[in-house]
Amino acid sequence: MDRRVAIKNLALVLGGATLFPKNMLAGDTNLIQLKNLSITPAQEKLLAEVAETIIPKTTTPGAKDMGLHLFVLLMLDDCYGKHDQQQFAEGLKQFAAIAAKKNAKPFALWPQAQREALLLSIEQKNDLPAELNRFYRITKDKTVQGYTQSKYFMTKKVVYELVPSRYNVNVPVKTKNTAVKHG
Amino acid sequence: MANLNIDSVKERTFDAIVIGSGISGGWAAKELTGKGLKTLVLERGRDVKHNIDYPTTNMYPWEFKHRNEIPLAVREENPIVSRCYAFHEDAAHFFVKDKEHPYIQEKPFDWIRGYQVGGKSLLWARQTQRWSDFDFEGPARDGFAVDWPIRYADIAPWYSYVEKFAGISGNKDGIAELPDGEFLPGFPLNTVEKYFSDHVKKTYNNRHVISARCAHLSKPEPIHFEQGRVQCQNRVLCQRGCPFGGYFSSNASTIPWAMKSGNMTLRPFSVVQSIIYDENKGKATGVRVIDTNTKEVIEYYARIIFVNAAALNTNMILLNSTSNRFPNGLGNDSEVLGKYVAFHLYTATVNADVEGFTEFKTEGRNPAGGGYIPRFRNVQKQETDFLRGYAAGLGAYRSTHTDSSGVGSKLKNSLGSPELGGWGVGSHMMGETIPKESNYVKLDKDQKDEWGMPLLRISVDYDDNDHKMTNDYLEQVGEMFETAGFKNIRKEITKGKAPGLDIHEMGGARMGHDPKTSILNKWNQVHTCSNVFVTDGACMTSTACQNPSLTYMAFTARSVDYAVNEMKKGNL
Repeated sequence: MDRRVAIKNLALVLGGATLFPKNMLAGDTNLIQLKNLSITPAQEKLLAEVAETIIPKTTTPGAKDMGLHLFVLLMLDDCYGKHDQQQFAEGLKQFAAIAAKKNAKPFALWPQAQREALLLSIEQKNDLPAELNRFYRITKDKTVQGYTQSKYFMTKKVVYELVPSRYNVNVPVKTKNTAVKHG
Repeated sequence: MANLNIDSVKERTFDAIVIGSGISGGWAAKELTGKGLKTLVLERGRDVKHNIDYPTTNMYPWEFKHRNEIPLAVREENPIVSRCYAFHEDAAHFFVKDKEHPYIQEKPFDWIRGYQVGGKSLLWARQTQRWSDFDFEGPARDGFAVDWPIRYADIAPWYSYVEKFAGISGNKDGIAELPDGEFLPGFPLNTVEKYFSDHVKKTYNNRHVISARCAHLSKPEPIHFEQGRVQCQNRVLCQRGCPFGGYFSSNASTIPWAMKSGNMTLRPFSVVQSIIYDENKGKATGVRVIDTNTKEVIEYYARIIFVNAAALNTNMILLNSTSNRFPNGLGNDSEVLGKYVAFHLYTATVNADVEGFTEFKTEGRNPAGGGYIPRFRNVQKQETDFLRGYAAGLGAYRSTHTDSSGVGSKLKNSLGSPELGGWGVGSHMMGETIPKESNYVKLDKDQKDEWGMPLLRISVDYDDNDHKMTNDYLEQVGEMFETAGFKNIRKEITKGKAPGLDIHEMGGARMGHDPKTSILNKWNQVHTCSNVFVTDGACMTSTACQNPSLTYMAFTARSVDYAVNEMKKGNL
């Protein structure tokens, strides 16, 4: 797939809660062409599973539905420096190795609880290789950013107002939760 | 313009020429055309039509490819503009990229430019405060630069004139050092800002925290509707260009107004190489323009010329306008042209946490940005070991906390349930700097840009007065925060910040009484070339600490009024 088409598709899925076509995830080609780092189709698919573990599909769309792993790669490719990109690529390999050691089955087929446990063990440990930590941090941060700055999230969860048309002060607090529209 | 020879001189002759279409050029265009003068407005960049050429204005955050972040390759290629606070994906197209227009930094200077119709008026921070005589009398009282040839009374009616048209929101605060204007209703201070304002009033007899005055239509008047502008909708996405015309820009206001008069010819892609001086007539006859696309040189003629190219570009044009009479640049008998360049100190911030007030929050967004602390140092008399003083921006905000730990549905739930946190408060410094001969711009003797214009050499630096003032700001605002009971006070000098990023560069063609020590007289008229007027930042004799744009607008309207009267009297 050429870059323009890939980006167009990416824009499509990132732009909305559009369901990500399943057959596109199953292909043997990369869905996103990167300029500054090299990620194999298998690695790209593994990253999709990691992102899905971070933001799983529940009653609402998950990372795969929203193509969040492609957002992670886009941001990594365009907005991060060489060092981060190298650490990420290396960390991704380390992650694949750890997952394979833990369970012979592909990560994608693990139960969600087991996948979460592995990610949590990385998130909460300080003594892991720097590359693995960096890989996890970037993946988590950008997955979360892609999610919280998606059309779905910003129209259905925490509503973004393009045109607030007001500035009110001394507004009494009724609930601490700010997700409520106009709340 | 392929066949210049058959272009008649007549077709290239106007009553007036305005160089530049930014915040002051737009005003010159509006005033000149409004007085019936056929006016050519030259803009070196492309046209940006209100609403039509604001490609990002209605985009949602998720529609920006990198969520408004500038890609690393662009940042690395453009380190200067990348340091500007407003350079993001949503407005990058309104900024000059470093490589497109190189200049030479004898000392570090981040020159932020907007080359398009409307210039930086699309991008400005829209803060508008009047000067007072405490500012105009500054150089004379404190013995620096030269005496301003005008006082507040000269400019006050023109402040009123431009404020009514532009639409300025604010409150009548009754502070002598920051005169009140013709205000639309001010935006309110929030709970914590109001608390701090009351605290400061109680604790200090000469300090104030007021609602920031800004060029937003809080409650438009008929004159604003007539411009096609409506009430500010609190988007605070101004740098993209505003579809409501909620804030003042040349694009939304003065340029379309001038166009409507039928008297304006707008010529984008026209870089002014020099002003043509006629030795026999003893005045300027027109300008030499380079078409930026074809690189053709074209001359345009007019009876009067307004130079509003933005402070440093105006210096560049005047310096490059050489003749037998003016071998060192137009009107530069005094040799001060390009010198005494000054700027504003945006070099420090104070931030703190605020305990309490958790029963209140805000809704929507505040276009004014919060509060404003007018200058309180050395106002009535000299009282510190540095000259002049500083104003400060002041804003309080209720933070939001989101638990982003963990993964899975737990994380998904917590991301969807952000909670109100405590209040925070922040302040930034805006300090006056002292114009000095050693802070200058000049033309490079050899290096030229793509259009054959000499590259500008910029040599501007901080001085000891700046450092002392910065420290005083940290001390004083730190103390005001402390006595207000704010916690975890963080006083910071912005590390490695070069002059220029304040985007308030001023001077070089300063006003003054004496042609021996200044370029312009009290009407912004070149002392020795009476039909050329400079009413942008280049004219500034000193900088005060107010945001300067409103003063440029007032100078421009006043100067056009004078020029046209002089034309009518047959003096020009």
